[in-house]
Amino acid sequence: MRQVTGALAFVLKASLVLAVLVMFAAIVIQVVMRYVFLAAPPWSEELAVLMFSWATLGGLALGVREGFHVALTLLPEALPPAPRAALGRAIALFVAVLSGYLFWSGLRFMDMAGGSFSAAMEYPTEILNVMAPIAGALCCVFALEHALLPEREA
Amino acid sequence: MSVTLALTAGLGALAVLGVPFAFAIMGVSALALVLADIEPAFLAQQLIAGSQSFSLLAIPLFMLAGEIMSAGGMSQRLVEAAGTLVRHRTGGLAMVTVIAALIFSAISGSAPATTAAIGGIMIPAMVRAGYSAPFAASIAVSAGVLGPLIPPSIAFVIWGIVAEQSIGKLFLSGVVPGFAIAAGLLVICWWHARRHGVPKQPKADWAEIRRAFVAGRWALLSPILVLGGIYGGVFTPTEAAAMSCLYALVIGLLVERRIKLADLSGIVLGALRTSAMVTSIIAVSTGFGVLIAQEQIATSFASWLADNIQEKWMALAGLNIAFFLLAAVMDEIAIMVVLGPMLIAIANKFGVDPIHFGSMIVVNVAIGMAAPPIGYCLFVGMAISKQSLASITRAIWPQIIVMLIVLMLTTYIPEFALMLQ
Amino acid sequence: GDALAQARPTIKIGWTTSDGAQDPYAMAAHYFKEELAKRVGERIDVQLFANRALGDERPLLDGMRLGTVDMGVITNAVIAQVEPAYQINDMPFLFSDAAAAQRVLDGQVGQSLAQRLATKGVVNLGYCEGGFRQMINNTRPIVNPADLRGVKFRVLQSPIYVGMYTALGGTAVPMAWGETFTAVQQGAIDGLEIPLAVIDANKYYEVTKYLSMTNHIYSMIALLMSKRSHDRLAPDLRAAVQEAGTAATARQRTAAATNARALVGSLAQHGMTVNEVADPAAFRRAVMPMYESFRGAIGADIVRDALAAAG
Ligand code: NA
Ligand code: NA
Repeated sequence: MRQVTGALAFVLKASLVLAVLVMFAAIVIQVVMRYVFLAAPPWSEELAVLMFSWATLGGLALGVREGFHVALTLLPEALPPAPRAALGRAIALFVAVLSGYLFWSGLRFMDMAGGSFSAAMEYPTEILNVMAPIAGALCCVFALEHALLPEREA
Repeated sequence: MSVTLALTAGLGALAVLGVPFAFAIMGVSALALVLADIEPAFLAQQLIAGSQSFSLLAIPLFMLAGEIMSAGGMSQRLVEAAGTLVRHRTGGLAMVTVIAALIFSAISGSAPATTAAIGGIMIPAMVRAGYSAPFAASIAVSAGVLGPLIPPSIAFVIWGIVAEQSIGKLFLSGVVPGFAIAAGLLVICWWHARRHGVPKQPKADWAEIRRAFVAGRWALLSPILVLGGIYGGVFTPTEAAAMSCLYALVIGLLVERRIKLADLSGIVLGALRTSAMVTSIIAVSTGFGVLIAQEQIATSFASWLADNIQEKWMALAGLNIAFFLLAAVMDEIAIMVVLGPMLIAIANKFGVDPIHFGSMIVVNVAIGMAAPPIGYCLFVGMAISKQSLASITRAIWPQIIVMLIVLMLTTYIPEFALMLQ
Repeated sequence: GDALAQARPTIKIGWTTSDGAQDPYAMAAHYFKEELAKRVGERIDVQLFANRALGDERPLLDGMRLGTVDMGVITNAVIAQVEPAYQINDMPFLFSDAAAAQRVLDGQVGQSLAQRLATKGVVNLGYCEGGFRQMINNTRPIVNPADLRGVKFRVLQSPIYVGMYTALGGTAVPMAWGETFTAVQQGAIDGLEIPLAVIDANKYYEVTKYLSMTNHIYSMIALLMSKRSHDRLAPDLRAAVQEAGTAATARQRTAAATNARALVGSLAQHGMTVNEVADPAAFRRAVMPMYESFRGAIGADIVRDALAAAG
């Protein structure tokens, strides 16, 4: 399981770095084209926002794996080690179940709202909408890893 | 169990147990879908919708600019240059944070981006200079509040559109409260450093000041580039975030050559982690905001307030308190948009000047960004400083009190906010 | 409470602009509520959500397809993302005046558009009016197509708007709405093109000098209902909803036209310099090649019928 999640996390991180760089490049091109050539490309903003969506949803999943999401830690911090670890597993399990629901919800959404297009680039919105089930699946796998193999945290 | 109860008490319970906020908000939203028999695809649809906003791009990009400037040592030299001017004063370096944030606010419309850009540089610098990490984080968090108060401001633009008021006038109504908060924070810097005996540093002589400014020239130029770019009409405030990344990259890779291309993926991932903490909560809050709006919880409260309170000062106090409490569990921008029309109706009933009311709302929104337990500046400050919520909360309360005093001034002395009109 | 709520269906209507009395979107929603109450009294509870309370336009429209949003007042360009045939309504200089637009939308073309949207799960209850789009800028009054040269206009991120400015020899800058006000104020762009009501609601007269009455695009806003919500209603209520939609559309069009006339005067009073174009036909001639290139995406029959009916 470790190897699988490790490989998934590697691919995820690579895709996130790429998304941020494309987002950055699209906006720089937009400014330069508008200011220097008086002609902003119609696709730049939409491409940047598409990349931002992945930076956000993929980032949600990376946060589950790396545990960087913000939480109120007052109660867990007050607990002795054993109950604290148990609470951590329970929360990870909750996140896994919820992410499974998000995965299913995302598949339904793709199915029901298919066949439409973005405004500028006219890409099929499935390209955007598929991010929800992918993020759900990744969150679920990473949360299960925490719930079943919690020793990595220590 | 009613949907309202699931959304409010449920969120509180999950958050207290230690479930990350993003998943606590998503969890109660999913529960509400089940309870109210709403199509489950709503959850994914709203998550996608919440991540589709151009203005939010400023968050990862300003974070990235900060990371690049740190990695290339530019931020270090910026701090050193500014430090040669005030470091010999009591609380000098903390004051640099506030002053730098005030300047940065004139280029950034966003509170978390201000905390990220300035905090990324100043929190480590303050810690090195002998400030406690929680205090250093809390100063960067509270200084971020200046972002939406000093124009340009995303929050005022949104309120101007919701309230159909002049955005130009609204911008001006934030300036005096913004400077008042900055002044209060400077006093706290001095008071804290005195009380805790943070070591003052030796006064710099002219030769050292000159050396520091020459060494820091590229970093010191960056606010001028961004300000000049925005006010010269070259780029918009969101685009400015990308341009400051570009500038930092060019200096780091080509001019000073302290960054190698191989470092880039690590730098980007660092920025992405901080940004994802904030933007994932914004994204999940979108669906939650719609569910809250549909339940009309806020509407009921507002009509109760309108029916039971006759005095203007009490109504204003009630609105402020309700807004402040709500900002503890909900995105401030979402509150403005969702509750705006009702708040305006109440303000009109009591004859409050609409520009004055706008400044009161945005000051409250800005404070909410820093006030525990939920606030975007707070999250960013926690991520940069690696401090727990509890320790920042203990350090930040004097700053919150200062801000609440400014909120009182803004609320009850209309001339205070309207001075520049 | 719950039992009563079950017995009495609710219709939640969302839109993204303000709840102002002059707002064309708000008018459509309020008139629908009033007209439906006239017909069914208390049997349906209509709830109104202005100011994006139920989300932005694209999520509102997707929500209607999912059945999580009952109704919405939606801008044509957003509907066109789901059903491309709606792009016909955004074709520049298609309609010479509002009467021509209403004739086309109430006839064969409008019916055909509604049928296509119904296959995507959304019922069209009426073609309301956002008012013709006009050009505002800080460089010079737009009287002839040649005046557009070198003037940077912010446009919607849509190929039609970019194509229109390119065809006319101008410069289109696609930009997010939230960035636009500051961009005009600071001079990153010279102007933009929007309906009169939007200029007024967003105080663009504070930062823009010239208002040119180009009437370049008829801004249709549709009163839409989720097919799922529609089909949940009893048959007699469904008929009442359709009638209320038609009645509300008629009232909204009249009120919007009255407002548009008043708005021109009010914007001039706020200091904008207002001008008419010299020869609308010159603008129309310049964009005609666009109709060829969009024929495939929109559908040849729709383009043919619309051009014929618009006259
Ligand atoms: Na600002
Ligand atoms: Na807060």
